[in-house]
Amino acid sequence: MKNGLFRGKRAAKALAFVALLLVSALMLLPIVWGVFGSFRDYNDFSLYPGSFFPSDFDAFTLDGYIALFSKTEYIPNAANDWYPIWNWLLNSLIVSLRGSLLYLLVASLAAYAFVFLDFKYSDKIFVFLIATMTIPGVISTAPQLLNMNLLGFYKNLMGLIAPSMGGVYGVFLIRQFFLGIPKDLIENARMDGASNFKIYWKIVLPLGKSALFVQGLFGFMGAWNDVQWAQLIVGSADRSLWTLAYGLKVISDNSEAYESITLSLASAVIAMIPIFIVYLVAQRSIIEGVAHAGVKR
Amino acid sequence: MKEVTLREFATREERRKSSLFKAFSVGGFLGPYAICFALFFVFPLVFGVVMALCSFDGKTMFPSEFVGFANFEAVFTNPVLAKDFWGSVWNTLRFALIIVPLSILLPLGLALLINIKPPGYKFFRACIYLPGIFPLTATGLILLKMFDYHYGFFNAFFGLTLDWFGETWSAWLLIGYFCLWCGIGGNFIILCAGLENVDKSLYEAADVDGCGAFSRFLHVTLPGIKDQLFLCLFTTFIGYMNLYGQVYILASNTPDQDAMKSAIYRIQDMLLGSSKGYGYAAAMGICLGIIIIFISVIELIVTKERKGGHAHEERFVSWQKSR
Amino acid sequence: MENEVKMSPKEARAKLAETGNRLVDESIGSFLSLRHVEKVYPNGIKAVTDFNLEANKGEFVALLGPSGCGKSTTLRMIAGLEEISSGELYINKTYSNYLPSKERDIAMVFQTYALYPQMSVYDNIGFGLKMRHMKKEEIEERVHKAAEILDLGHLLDRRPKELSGGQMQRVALGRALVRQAGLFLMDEPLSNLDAKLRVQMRSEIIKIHKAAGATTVYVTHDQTEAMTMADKVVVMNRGYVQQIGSPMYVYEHPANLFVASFIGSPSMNILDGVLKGERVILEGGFSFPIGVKRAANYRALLESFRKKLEDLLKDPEGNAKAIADLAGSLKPSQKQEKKAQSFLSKFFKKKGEEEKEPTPYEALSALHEEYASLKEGELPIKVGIRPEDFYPEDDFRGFKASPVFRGSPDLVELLGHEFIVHLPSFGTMIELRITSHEVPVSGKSLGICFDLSKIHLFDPYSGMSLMDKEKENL
Repeated sequence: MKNGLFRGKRAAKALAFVALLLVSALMLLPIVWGVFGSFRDYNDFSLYPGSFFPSDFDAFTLDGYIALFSKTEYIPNAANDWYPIWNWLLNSLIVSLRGSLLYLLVASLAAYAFVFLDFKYSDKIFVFLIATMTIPGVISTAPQLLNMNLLGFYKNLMGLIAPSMGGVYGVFLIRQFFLGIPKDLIENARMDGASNFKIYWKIVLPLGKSALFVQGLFGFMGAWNDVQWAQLIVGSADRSLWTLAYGLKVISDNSEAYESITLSLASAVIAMIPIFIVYLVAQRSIIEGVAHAGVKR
Repeated sequence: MKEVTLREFATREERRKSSLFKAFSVGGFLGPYAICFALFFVFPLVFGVVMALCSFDGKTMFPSEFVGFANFEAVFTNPVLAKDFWGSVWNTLRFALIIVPLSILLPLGLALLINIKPPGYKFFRACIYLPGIFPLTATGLILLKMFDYHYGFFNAFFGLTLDWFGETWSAWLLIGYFCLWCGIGGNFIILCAGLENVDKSLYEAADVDGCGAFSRFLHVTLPGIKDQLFLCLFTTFIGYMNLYGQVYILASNTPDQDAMKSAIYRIQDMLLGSSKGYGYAAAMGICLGIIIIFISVIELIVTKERKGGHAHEERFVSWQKSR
Repeated sequence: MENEVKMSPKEARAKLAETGNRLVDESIGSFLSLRHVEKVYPNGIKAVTDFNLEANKGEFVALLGPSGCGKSTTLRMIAGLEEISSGELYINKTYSNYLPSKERDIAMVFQTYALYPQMSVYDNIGFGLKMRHMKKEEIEERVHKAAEILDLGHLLDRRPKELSGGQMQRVALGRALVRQAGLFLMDEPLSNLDAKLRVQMRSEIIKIHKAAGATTVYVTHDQTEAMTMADKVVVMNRGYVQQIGSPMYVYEHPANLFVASFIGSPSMNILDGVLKGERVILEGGFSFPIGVKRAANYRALLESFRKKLEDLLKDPEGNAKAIADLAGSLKPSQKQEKKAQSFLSKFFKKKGEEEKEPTPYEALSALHEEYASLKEGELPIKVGIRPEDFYPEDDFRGFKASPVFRGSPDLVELLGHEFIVHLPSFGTMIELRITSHEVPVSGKSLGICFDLSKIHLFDPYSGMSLMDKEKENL
């Protein structure tokens, strides 16, 4: 009986292993193809029957990357454009980093007030904030665009950073984490003579590091990957103001000619690399962060 | 002035001072966020309503004239506008109806596999989540090239001559594939965590009660991850009502554009064009928002937990009386 | 008093500035003084009612009561972590109601120890001094001294998570000690420790209390801690102070039924009876004399309470607060299903309408009517007898023996040198603590008597005890 039980369990594990292996391969397949493709001579793509990997060693090339980072025109007939990819990278970095860090600061200060400063109606105000999360974002897309214009953030990287500053979700998540910090600790610090800001800086932030880190990661990834808002704010500006994610779309629009495939894939890889590095470093925190948001409400 | 004793005076002064100090510190901590919230959340929301009630002359980005509900009227009755917008809403809804169940069932299946905990499950989990973290434009670009008519890997490998992005049906098919490929990660992780959190002793109790694998899933697993399923349902649905990036990236060159536009795509087009359309865009945004709220409320009512009632209690009482 | 002299706000401002903008009351003799302190939460729940306490320098005061009795709230009000709704708090003659915690010259030990997880033991102990911008050398000196007293020297570089419960406790104590504060506040500091460590830490805390020479306010729900450590015990229940006194006094002269049944383990046996003449008749007809004088005193006690009710009810508006407070203090809590308290519930529940509570005025009127209708000849009474005041009939070692009654034990618990005997009698189950060489056997009849000079008499309605001196001279 016991043996049978274990055998059943092991069979299930083996089956699950095979199934997951297949699914994982399917998930990774396009990415692997893209990465290899970015190092592959364009003529190699059109061979019949198509091969997943470059067909031979001679097909390897760095031309796509070279073209991307130099201003030389790689494909004479199709792309009469140059892509200021360094600018895009930098813009994306500025927007993602500055946006996520600023929001972390603002949101964690607010979360501190909600958790550790007991003021009148704090609960009611918070419930109100949570309630606003149910309002669909579409409603404010158009007016937000004008709002940015009013503030002088139109065609400006600030216009990509500012709208996320008003977000409620981060405050909610950070507050959730702060609630787990023992109140005694804060009260003790208060009796030790620490001011609120000192408590925030010396006690709460060090203890909340992991939660803030996760929140920061999500902010970073959200800003890095955004296309829609970038199109509205900087899409009509000089292309040196574009972000990488939006720039890619234009590269792909300009890549009708079959010679440009290597270049497009190279640009996609460039856009994925920073995020991939973040994922490699913080994969556990990211997954735990998503899981946490889903389970503990 | 009224005479006071020293004690009364001191009480009053100190109370004033301490409440002032408290207000000051609350202001200091909450202030920055309050300003941001007002400026970047509340103001656009209110301003959106104003915009929807105004017309734009196309010269500046700002409203020129108050026109009441004319924009809404146009969205409903103007032959071109109404057809475009409601057509796109219909496209979006149809797509959501198909993709939302898939975006929950597929990750659920995968999460169940992960929950068996085969060797290396953490690695598989990371792999399945991976595509979703990249910019849509990057992953979309790879898909575009992979399914390219001329030199794409897919056509070449299978010997097909299908123009995937040229036909409406196949373009939507690929958009669906794109959405699943890059969009199930979040739900997948949430469901994994939900399964992880189901009380293990319940499974044991179900075994003792003689449950088979399926009834165990039905009576233990599903109720155990109910909250996560509902969370996924709501967020996924709202997410796909806001469908834009996937369509914009894969289908902006598909010939039949009317069949490819999602609702947000229409609004985005309006906002990218002359400011004459801003009033319509704002009105469309409000209409779409109301539709989203409406369907969410229906979902909420359908999935709401019902109270037990008193049926058993009443029958127990009558059973007691009958003896 | 100087502080009660009327003057113009301008003069008041000038006068206050002389004492550093703090109100100082030189007439206060004690170090810590709470006067009519109350706490009402924004949701209307009253946590503490009319709390009065004077504690001298060097005194160890224990706030004792069941959970939810308001003892922690009181401590937090003294600490400045909770705002005082009304009343006055003086620390070292200084009016401190609105003083920030850090300016109150207090140190506090929390139940959860509240050690900063990211700091070493040394930094944890020194943090409060650092926040006060003390010199590095001074901090080191003080931390080392505390480490010596508490034997923490070898742990100074560890993080809190590397410490055992007892060690964390000692660090928390050390942190309070280095502050050299005038007032130590401790919120159930031992409740997270196991029984053996608790006993050990008790003496540790007393040692520190004596070494620091500070006043200590110590919150606990454990009567053993309060009885063994404190100079002064404040027994609280549902926000009301029940009794203040030395541990010995509170044990021997409980002011009311609550204190009587809360303090002592096993708790005091409370028996229902009737006072006829000078004899108390218990259920089942067993009777014993209490002396003519005590009987008269008991009657006077009832009458005085009736009079008090009458006076209060004469002016419902003017005495609204007093009526509400008294009704609140008498109202039986939902948890307390003890016979001693449920007696009162009929006055606080309207018949027929279970949901609706009567107003304090209605409740007290009903109670007053009950008092007025009592017959002089046959007064209800509650008799309290501690388990150790019972003796086997042949081994009486008390002062004055009662008549003997018989019963057969339900259960006999052996505690080494003594037995706890559960004996059904007088319509209830009484517990006796007997030190006898003859082992009582359950089911076998026993002859028992008790010490008449040690019994306590209570008014069953108000719960008040007859606190007379008569029983000593009986």
